[in-house]
Amino acid sequence: MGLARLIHQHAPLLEELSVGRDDLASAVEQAYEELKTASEQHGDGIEIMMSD
Amino acid sequence: MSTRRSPHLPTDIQMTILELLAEEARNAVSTRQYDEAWRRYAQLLLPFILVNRDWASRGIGLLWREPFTPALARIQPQRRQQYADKVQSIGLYLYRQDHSECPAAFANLSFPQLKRLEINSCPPWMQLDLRPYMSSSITSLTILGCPHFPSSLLDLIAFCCPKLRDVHFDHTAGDQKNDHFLKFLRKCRNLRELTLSSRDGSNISSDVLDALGSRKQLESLYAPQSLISYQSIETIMQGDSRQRPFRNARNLSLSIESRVVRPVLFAAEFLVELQLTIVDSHHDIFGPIGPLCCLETLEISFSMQKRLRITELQSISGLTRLKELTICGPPPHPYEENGPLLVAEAWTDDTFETWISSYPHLEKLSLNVRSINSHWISETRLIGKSCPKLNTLSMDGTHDIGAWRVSSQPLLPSLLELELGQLKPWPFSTRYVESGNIFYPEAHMRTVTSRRKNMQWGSHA
Repeated sequence: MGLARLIHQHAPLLEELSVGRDDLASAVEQAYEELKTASEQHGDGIEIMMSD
Repeated sequence: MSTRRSPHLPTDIQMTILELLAEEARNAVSTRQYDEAWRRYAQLLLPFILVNRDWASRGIGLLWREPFTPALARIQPQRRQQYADKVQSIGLYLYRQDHSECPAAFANLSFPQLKRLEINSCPPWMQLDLRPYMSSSITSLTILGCPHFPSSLLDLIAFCCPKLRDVHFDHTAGDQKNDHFLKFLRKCRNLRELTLSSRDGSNISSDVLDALGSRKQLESLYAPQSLISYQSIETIMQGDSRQRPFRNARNLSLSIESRVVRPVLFAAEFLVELQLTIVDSHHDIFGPIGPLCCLETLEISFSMQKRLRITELQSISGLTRLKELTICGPPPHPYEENGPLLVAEAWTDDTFETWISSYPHLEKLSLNVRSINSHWISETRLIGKSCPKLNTLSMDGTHDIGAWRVSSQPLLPSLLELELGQLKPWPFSTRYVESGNIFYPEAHMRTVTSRRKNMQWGSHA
């Protein structure tokens, strides 16, 4: 979910995502779709935090 | 009854308005095909055709300018020529059942205003008489899937269609030694764009290359599957060492040997779009491309495995107008993990950043290159930082998305498509928790909570 959120934060207009063919890629792509759908339904903004 | 007269627009302005409305209607049906597109186009034009006599006359002309070809065949024979007079574009897609009756229906017609003719997949048994279509006004001609057409047909086309600017042919090995093809190229003095489709991967002979390269007017040559060998270009240069091939070309799509790149491109300084398939990796190809400073699209596809050094890429750093850059290797075999590849050699963050920052206008980047190491460190972050207009990013190899975390602003604000070879698993928890309507990384929140506890403990002490 964390990687999907990072992608969503840094590429807010993204329409197509493909990040590999392994299990991690499938999980990230699925999480990204869920995140995007939730974001579109609720219109929640996500702020980007600097790492420390 | 009112005495005020309604304002009258001059006819020219009315017709300009009608042309604009027709253009809008054409755009509206652009996603549809064949008769469905034309029917919808007719429906959209109908209200304008019904305005008055002038609009009807011009509207019908617009409707029949680019008709669905079988619709013309369905018109009664005695009235068919009346509509054929208006036709500017004909596509005979003879693999389609509804087009098969067209050649017979058009046998006695003429198309005096025809500008575009496409003949696709004529079956050998069909006796197609091309004379009705051979109008002197034709500027665009496409003949595909008709291998049985006699070569002498090219003489007829060159004679009847002197205004040809845009030609698309199938190109076979037999054409190379064919005098008709050479004569055709030499006679078509207005030729600006030539596309040669090849299914047999035949070479472009020195004669054909000479006829094309020396043509001052040629702006576009698309021959992605017909190989230009070193022998061909060497023969030309030996014949005339002052030859400057493709000196006015804007678009080239070629398949060539690596050592041919320099002699083919050295004079092509106005190239805007270049697509090369390189069949070997023996010679440097980036050096000769580097000076082509007008390039906006560059696509290089290697057919063989290659180690791509960052110094090679630095040779094209001067192409600051680039909007699309694609560098790819041969397609991997679906069942082989370690098939032929394009391998990045000696790429570091610093060298990569220096290189990629040369392209501030880049909109599409495709680097199907794998790294020797298990992963690269932060190249996607550096791309985002250097190319703010990027809308498509495709990269092979393993990538560390976690490196994006260091940026407080969206790294790829315009990105629409992202394709990465593989993700590097992020070693730390990246779960987010919400606090005060803001999402924080879970690790960050643990640190904050821990600090708060320490502070509370300190105050009690």
